[in-house]
Formats: sequence, structure tokens, C-alpha cells
Amino acid sequence: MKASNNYSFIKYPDECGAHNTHLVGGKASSLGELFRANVPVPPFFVITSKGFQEFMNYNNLLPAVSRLDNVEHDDEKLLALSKEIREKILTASLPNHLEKELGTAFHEIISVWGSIAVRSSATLEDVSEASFAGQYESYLGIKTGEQFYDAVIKCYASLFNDRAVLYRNRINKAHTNVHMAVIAQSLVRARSAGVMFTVNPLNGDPSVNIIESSWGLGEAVVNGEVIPDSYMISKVTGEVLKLKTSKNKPIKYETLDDGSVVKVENPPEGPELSLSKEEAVFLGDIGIKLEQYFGRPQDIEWVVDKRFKPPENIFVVQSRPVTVNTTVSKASRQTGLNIMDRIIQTLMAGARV
Amino acid sequence: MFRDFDMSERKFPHAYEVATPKGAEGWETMYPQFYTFSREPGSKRDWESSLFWFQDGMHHGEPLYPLDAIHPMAWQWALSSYNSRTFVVPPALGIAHRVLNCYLYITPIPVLDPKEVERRVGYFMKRAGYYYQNWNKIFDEWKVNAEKIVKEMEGLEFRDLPEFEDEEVVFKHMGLSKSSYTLYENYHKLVLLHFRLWQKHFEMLNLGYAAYLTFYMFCKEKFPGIPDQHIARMVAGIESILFRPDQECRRLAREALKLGISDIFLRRLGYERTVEELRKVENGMKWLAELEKSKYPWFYYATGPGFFHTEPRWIDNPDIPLGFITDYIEKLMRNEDIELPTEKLRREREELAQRYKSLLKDPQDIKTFEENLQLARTVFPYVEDHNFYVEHWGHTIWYKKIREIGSILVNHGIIRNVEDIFYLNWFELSQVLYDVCANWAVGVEPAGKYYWPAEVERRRKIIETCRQNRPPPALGKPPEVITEPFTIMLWGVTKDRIEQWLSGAVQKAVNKLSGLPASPGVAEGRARVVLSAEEIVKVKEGEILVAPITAPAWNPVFTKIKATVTDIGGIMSHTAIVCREYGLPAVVGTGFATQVIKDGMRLRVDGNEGVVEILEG
Repeated sequence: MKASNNYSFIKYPDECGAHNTHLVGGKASSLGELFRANVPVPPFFVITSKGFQEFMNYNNLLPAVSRLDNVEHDDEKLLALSKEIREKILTASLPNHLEKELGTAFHEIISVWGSIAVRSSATLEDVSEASFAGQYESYLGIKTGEQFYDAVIKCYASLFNDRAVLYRNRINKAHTNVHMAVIAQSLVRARSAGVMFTVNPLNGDPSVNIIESSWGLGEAVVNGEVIPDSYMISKVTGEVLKLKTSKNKPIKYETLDDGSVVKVENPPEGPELSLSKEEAVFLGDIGIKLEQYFGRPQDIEWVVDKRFKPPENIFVVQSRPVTVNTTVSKASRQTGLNIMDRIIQTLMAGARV
Repeated sequence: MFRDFDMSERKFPHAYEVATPKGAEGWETMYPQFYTFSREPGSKRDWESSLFWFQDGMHHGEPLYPLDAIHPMAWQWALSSYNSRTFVVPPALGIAHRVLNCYLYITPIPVLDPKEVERRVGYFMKRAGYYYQNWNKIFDEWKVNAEKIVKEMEGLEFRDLPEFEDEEVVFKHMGLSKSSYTLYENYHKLVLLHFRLWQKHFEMLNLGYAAYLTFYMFCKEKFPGIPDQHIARMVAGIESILFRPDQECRRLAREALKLGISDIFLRRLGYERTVEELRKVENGMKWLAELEKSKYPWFYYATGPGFFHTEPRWIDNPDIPLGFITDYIEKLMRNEDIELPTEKLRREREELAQRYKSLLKDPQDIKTFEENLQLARTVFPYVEDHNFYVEHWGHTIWYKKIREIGSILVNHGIIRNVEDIFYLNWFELSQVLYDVCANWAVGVEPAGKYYWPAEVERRRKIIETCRQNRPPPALGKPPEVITEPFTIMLWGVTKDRIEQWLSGAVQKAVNKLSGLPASPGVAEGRARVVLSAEEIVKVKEGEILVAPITAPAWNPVFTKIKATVTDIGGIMSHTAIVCREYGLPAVVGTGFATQVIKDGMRLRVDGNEGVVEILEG
């Protein structure tokens, strides 16, 4: 992946981050932060909000957006107008110089990865990821330039989805001030996926990473449709301290060639672990890096690509802070006692049997 | 001692419910009355049945020979007096002992009345506080005094009785039967010095464990997932004298190479013939001089926990250290490194402590961590080193002296072989020596000549029968909480352990055993089951050692094997300490490994998780 570039409308991971959300959008800015934390993320590039503006300008769509800002207390009118904008966007085309730039970057990534996902990354960033879920679109399994340009334009149109427009109105955000950056990200072929906590959520132990893993995409773990394999890894020595192989992993989610996601039954893997110990240890190191970079415990989504060998097969998809009371955030039972009192307290407590 | 405990199925049989194996009837007569369980109903049996007893397989994993029972008697007395009456540990009295079917069971006695616990606190603060504050100074004195006791034991002479007393008895007006009185007196002196040495053994150990436990509990509170072995590794000393005998073997191997005489060793002629060959060359003589330097006291070293006369000791069985020396010579000739990586271990120890400390945030917590760690490290050399003085050096001399007495008893027809003396307990031995001395004085045969030989035969059969019939790992109902530091730290009696014992008691056909992960790493290999110290010579390169428990004198074996599995032992057990030092995976306290695993089975030992798998039988 390029460290910097001469493109006008494209940014690479090292150029994305919290500092330029206005240019790359919220989602790409988070991905860029992961990249800056020096953990592996599936390679991507971003078509910046400047590209979006160029597109809108070129097709003379900005006046219609301005009109949206002037609609007040009339949702029906608002939605009619949004629909009109969407239709105009979907029939418009990319300016030649923009398309050419996108084509070059696209072919570079597709030659290595075979297919990509195109995801919207709007510049409206003062709301949590969760409340945005489903507002904008993602397109998976993109293989050709034509599909790519088409997906980019669809992403642009999704900025004017009914829900997105109503939401902006509700929070009084000017429609003209929100732009759409688009992420083109290589598509991981998930062998296994899951989550990792950099603190034990059950007892607040900050000295371990807790990993849960199952076959296929992470949805199986996140939705609770399987009992995942679980791992406890020492952050201090990197050893696998505890490991539980689950025999109850009946289904998995898979991405098909066309990019669609299907739920399939797992062949009976028996005692097989969905994540090897070696991979779990690599993942543990990633957890330490992310916690250090963000300065607090993290909840991390990760995926293992079936086409590569460890450690090159592990990718982080997302990392967000967790709010767990850690054992070190409150004082010890021994705090405030002198050493003799501590010894007496220890003897009194004894060991439960 | 029990608080409410309603899981009625979590229970072991009571002692009186355990049958006597056929052929072991009358085993009780080998031990003093106070040392066995009552079978008959009554208040003694009721009291015994109200307690939770567990088998001390760690130190006394074999049937107790009557005379070897003096060791647990000595430590019951010594350990308990420091807990209950010297340092006044607030919630714990001593550890009670009973024998069942020749196996030793023990139980910690707690102080349950909160007012009484409170009353004891003041005493403990003052007394224990003094020892902690002056720890290093007291330990320095301790070493001098322990050595004095050992040497005093060594100075005791045991001579057979002459026809007539030496004439100095007359001309120096000695006023006693010098030979018989001295024999009788020195036996009792020997017993008293043995008890005295055991009193030293526990002088600082209880407090050492308490300090370690305090650091341990702090770590477990702040880092609930921290493995016990990480805590031990942060504290453990790098150069315990328990490793010294092994270091001497390494030194002698290097000397042999330097002197250019290694080929003599490689022929593996055995000790006698090797010495004979060495005497023929000048450099061989030089090496033998080096050997003599190492022998005292470093070869006064037991190949087991030190509590059995059957454990070979290096000094009496020089083939054992010679074998290790030769192994090291071979390694050196293959250009392998035989040095312990002490610098690396020291660095790792600091890094580990630093990393855990860096996870703490509260300045108070950081201070507590530092203070607790420092105290744990201060007390730890004692915890590691004291065994050498008592179980190794001291007991080697004890056995040497007992055998001297044994050969006198053979002369008087009390026993047929020297080793038979171990079938008499120490109270009986006092009677026998009276019998021998008094009847020698009378001028007739001792009465015991017509009693003991047959009795020894009877006892021999009982011991053998009991060896084949191990009673349950525990008796009675487990308590809710154990507050006695030894029970927690040394025997590792915890919830998990008791569950294991219970599950193992039910089902023995298993292909997976769990225990405490005592030393990290994973290894696969063939099993070698070693039930007693004599069998260690069977262990071959690359095998996995499976034993009830290991002992410091097995250390050189640890350079051959891939991993270790034991039946018993906690995080402070010898196996745990040595395996960490040697970088070998170890799983301790599996409960049943030696019963389930057979020689040659392929095993997978996971020292990170504490799991042993039988891959193929």
C-alpha cells in the first residue's frame, strides 16, 4: 500500500485519521486510526469528500441539495426532494478525470485481492457508529471497474436516503455540510472471525486479552448463534492461559463470490479450534497495540483470511472503547494497610475450597 | 472446623469406613496409639470424623515405615507449635496427623471464634513483625545453628557393647556403664537432635509462606487470571542451594574434560571401577580430589523428598551422581551448553514484575505491589534453602547413624538385617535398646531376640500389602475455607484440587488429566512412570517423567526429560520450582497420573493449561 500519493481525490490508510474526518469520513477515519496503531487492516483507499463535491459540481447537483436545507417542517416535501436528488445522482456519471483516477487505484488493489467492498463513509461524525448502521450502503464483491463506478455513485446517492435525510433534519445539520467519502476495501475471505476484549469483561482483569472465535464471518459470534471457542491470553507473557474449544458451532456466515453473505451449516469440525493458538497469540499482540494506541481497553472485531498464512492472515475490522470497571481502577483490599496488617488480612481470608 | 456446607455429595469416606486391605490386618500396632484413627465409636472417632483429612502424598507418598514415621511426628510438632503457640498465627492452629492403612493423613486446625482470632492478632503482630524486620540477620544465624545441630548429630558415636567395660571407667571413677549408657544415651540424643533440627526447619517457614501468600493474594485480586507460576517466577530466587549438588556435577564434568580423562567416564563402568581406573592416572587422582571437595555436604542429598530411608542418597550411592556427571560430560563433548541461564532468568524475573506493575494505576496499589514483592523476595531464599539442611544433609546423617545402631541390633539378634531396623518405631527402638543394654549387663540374651525377627517379617508383609492398596486421597467433608498457609501454598489444597480428587475417586479410565499448570510450555513424548526414588535411573533422554512427586536430587534428570507430570504438589512444590528453572513444561497435582499412565504411553503435557493427554496407550 502506498504511503502517500499524487492523486487529487484519493487517500490511503496512512493519510486517514481523526485529523481529517472532514475529508475521508467517519468510518475511514477509524480505519486509518487502526492503521496508525500499526495493526493489520484489510488494505483500502478512500475517495475523499472532495471527489464527492467534484461529482456533485460536475453534474450540477448542489443547488438541489441547497433546496433541501430550506425545507422546514414538511417531511413529505423533504422526502420527495431527496428522492429527486437520488434519482439525479444515479443517472449522473463521474467526471472523466475522477473516473480515471479511481480506475487506476481500483486496478491496483483488485489485481492483488480479486474483489473489494465499497462502503460509504460520510463526514457527519458527531454521532456513534451504531446509530448510523444501515443508513448508508455497502457493496460487496466488486470485481470490475464498471461495478466499482456504479457502486461509488450508489454510495453517493445513499447520502440522501430517507432515513439519513430525516436524521440530519432532526439534529439540525445542514445537508450541504455533509459529504460522502467512499471506501474501497479489499474483501477478506473469512475462515474465522470474532471479537477480542483487552480486559476480561467478567472480572475486570487488565492482564489478559479475551478472544471469542468461530468459523466464517464475525456475525455468528456477535449474534450469539454459536458458542464460540474462547481464549485467555496473558498480555504480560503472550501465553495462552486458558483455552476452551467449543463443540457447539453449528453455523457460519460466508461471503460468496458475488459478494452476497449466506448462512450455512458447518461441517462437524469436532474438536477443531476455529483459531489456532499461534493465531490467538498474534491477535493478543494486536490487542495490546490497540489498547496502547487508544489509551483504554478496547473491544475489537477481527477476521482471519483463509487465503493467507499466519500472521499475515489476521485483520482487524473495528476497535472501540469498552467501559468495563477494571480491577486496577479501584483500590485493592490491601490498600491503606501496613504490611503486617496485609499479612494478617491474607491469613484471615484463607483460600476457599 | 466446618462452617455450613450442604453439598452432601462432596464428601470422602470417613477413616473408619475404609476397609483394611486383606493381609494388612494389625497395621495399627506399628504406630503409637495417638497416631492412628479410632475405628470404635466414641468421642475420639466423632472428632476425627468431623474433620477433612487429606493424604500427604507430597512428603509421605508411600506407606510409612514405623521408624520413618518419626519425620512426620517431628514436623507435626514443629510446624504446629510455630503456628499455634510461638508466632500465634491468628486464624490457624497446627496440623493434626493420623495414619490410615500405613498412609499419613493430615488436617489443618483453624481458630473459628472471631474473638479468639482477634486476641491472637496482637501477639502475631509483635512476634512475626520482629522476624520479618530482622529476616536476613535471623536467617544468617539460622544457617550457622542448623549446621551446628547437623554436626552435633554427626559427632554421635554408636559402638557395640564390649565384653568388659574399659578400665578408664574404674580409674577415672566414671561411675556408670560407659559403653551401654552411652549407646542408650546417644540414641536418645540422636532423636532429640532430629526433633531439634525439625524445630529449626519451621522457625521461619510459616512466616515465609505467609509473606509469599500476601503477595500472591494481591496479584490474584488485581490480575485474577495471573497464573500461579507467574507469581512464583516474580519471586523465586535464581541460585538456591538446592541446585548446588547439580551445579557440583556440572563442575566435575567440566573438570573431567579439562583434565582430559573424559573417556574413562564414557565407559560407564560404575562408581567403584571408575574410581579404580582414575587412580591409575595422575589427572584421575586430581579429579578424585575435586570429587572429595564436592562430596561434603553437597552429596548428602536425598533422591526423594527425604522422608524415606529407601530413597538412595548420593553419598551412599555414588553411581547416581556419577551417572549425572557422565551425562554432562557427554553433553559437553557434543558442545552443548550445560550452564543454567541464570542471567536470563534474572532478567526475565525483573521484566515479569515490571510488566505486571505497569498494569497497575493507583499509586497506592503500586506501592503495595512493590512492598509485597520485596518482602516475598526477602523471605524466599529461606523457603527454598531450608530443605537442604534438614531433609537432605540432616536426614542423611540421621539414616547413617540409625544404620550404625541397626548393625549393633543385628549383632544381638534383634533383627536379621540392618535395614530391618526401619520396621520398629522410635519408641520401640528405645525399649529395644534398653532390652539390649540391660540384658547385656545381666549377662543374658535380650528378650527381643525371640520377638522382633518374626514381628519384622509380619510388618514387612503389611507394608507391602499397603503399598499395593492406596487408600482414598482424602477423608471426610471438605471445609468451606482453609486458612492455614501451608495447606494452601505447599499442598495446594484448593477447590479445584478437591474436585479433582472427588472426580478421580469415581472414574479412573480417563485419557485426560488436569492439574496445576506449574511450568509453561507444551511437550509430547513417551511416559516414564517412576514410583520410587530407586527407579529414576530408568529415565531415558526425551521421555516424560511421571511421578507421585519429585525431589531436588532428581534435578540432573531434568536435563534429560521433556516434561514432568506429578500426582501431588502445589506451585511451591519442588517439581514446579525446578521445571520453571529448567524451562520444562510441568503439570503437578493431577491426583492420579501414576495410576492412569503406564510406561511408554505417548503423552501431551500442556504446562500452560495444566492438562495431560494420553495420545496413545
